[in-house]
Amino acid sequence: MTKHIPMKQDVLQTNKTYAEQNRTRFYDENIFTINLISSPGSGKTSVLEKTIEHLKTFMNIGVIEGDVATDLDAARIAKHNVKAVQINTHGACHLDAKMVAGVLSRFPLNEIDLMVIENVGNLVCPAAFDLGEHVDVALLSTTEGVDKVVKYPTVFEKADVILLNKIDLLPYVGFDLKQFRDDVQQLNPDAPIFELSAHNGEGIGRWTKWLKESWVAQTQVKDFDWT
Amino acid sequence: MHEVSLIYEVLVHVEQASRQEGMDKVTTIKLTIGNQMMVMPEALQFAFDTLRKEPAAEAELKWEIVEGNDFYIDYIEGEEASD
Ligand SMILES: Nc1nc2c(ncn2[C@@H]2O[C@H](COP(=O)(O)OP(=O)(O)OP(=O)(O)O)[C@@H](O)[C@H]2O)c(=O)[nH]1
Ligand SMILES: [Mg+2]
Repeated sequence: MTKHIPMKQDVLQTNKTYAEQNRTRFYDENIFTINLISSPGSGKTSVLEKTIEHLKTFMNIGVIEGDVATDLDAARIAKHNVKAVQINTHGACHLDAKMVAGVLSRFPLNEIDLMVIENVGNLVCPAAFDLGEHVDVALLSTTEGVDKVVKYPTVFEKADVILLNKIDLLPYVGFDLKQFRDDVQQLNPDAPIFELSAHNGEGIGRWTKWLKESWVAQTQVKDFDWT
Repeated sequence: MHEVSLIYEVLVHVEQASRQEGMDKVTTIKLTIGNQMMVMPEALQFAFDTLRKEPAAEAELKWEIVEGNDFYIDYIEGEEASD
């Protein structure tokens, strides 16, 4: 006999459950967590290295590196005396919340203030997987072309903050800054934009100031006595 | 290609549900997919053809694209265990 089973089963339920567990863990440990998303080579690791140099005297930072293969990025981060754990996805184009949950025990969580998760370089897949982060950071670089914002809208729509990297190359690549700002404004009017260069450090200070303030806001909300 | 991880999850849930409901063979899996999930139906079908296994080894995959960021299994159909 043919049988019909209505399911209405959320396919991402398992991921959402792990993401909530991660978020609770971060909250309990007073950790502010960001998920850094961009296409390959936009400069996620480079921006992160500069960010670490600016912030490491103020905060303890932990880094989770996601790549299909190799631990090259974790090695780059470790050179800055910051705890970095590499996840290899062996083909998958994104991290998921279970992978992140699996490496948390390798960090001294009670000492960490800021956790940065560098996702696998991809502008599409990572957007579908909540990792338990507080803030999604979408990064574009000037060499990719201004049209990527509207061609890959989901990542930029969902982001809480948007970074434009490699502005030192603006004179050479014909990237229309006004177009970029207009397109972002259209898609995601609330997201602050930081234009920066991991190469010469321009704009990094404004971005790290925002990070510091967001971290403080997050921990203060928690410590605030609501009763 | 996050379609691969999504199909993997689909197969886990389908296997569970069919076992619970005493279904021997799954003939149809119907998905509802939000357009914001950036899922490519061809890639989904390809992932399904690669990963399909019992009890859904011969199932037909159907989908409907809707607005938003949902991604869920709408229903499954199949043959009940004959005993
Ligand atoms: N000129 C210039 N080059 C940069 C800048 N930021 C990064 N790069 C270069 O861009 C290349 C890629 O940088 P990465 O930091 O490895 O990029 P990524 O996004 O981490 O790459 P994946 O992790 O492989 O996706 C490297 O050769 C960097 O030196 C920048 O602001 N200006
Ligand atoms: Mg990198």
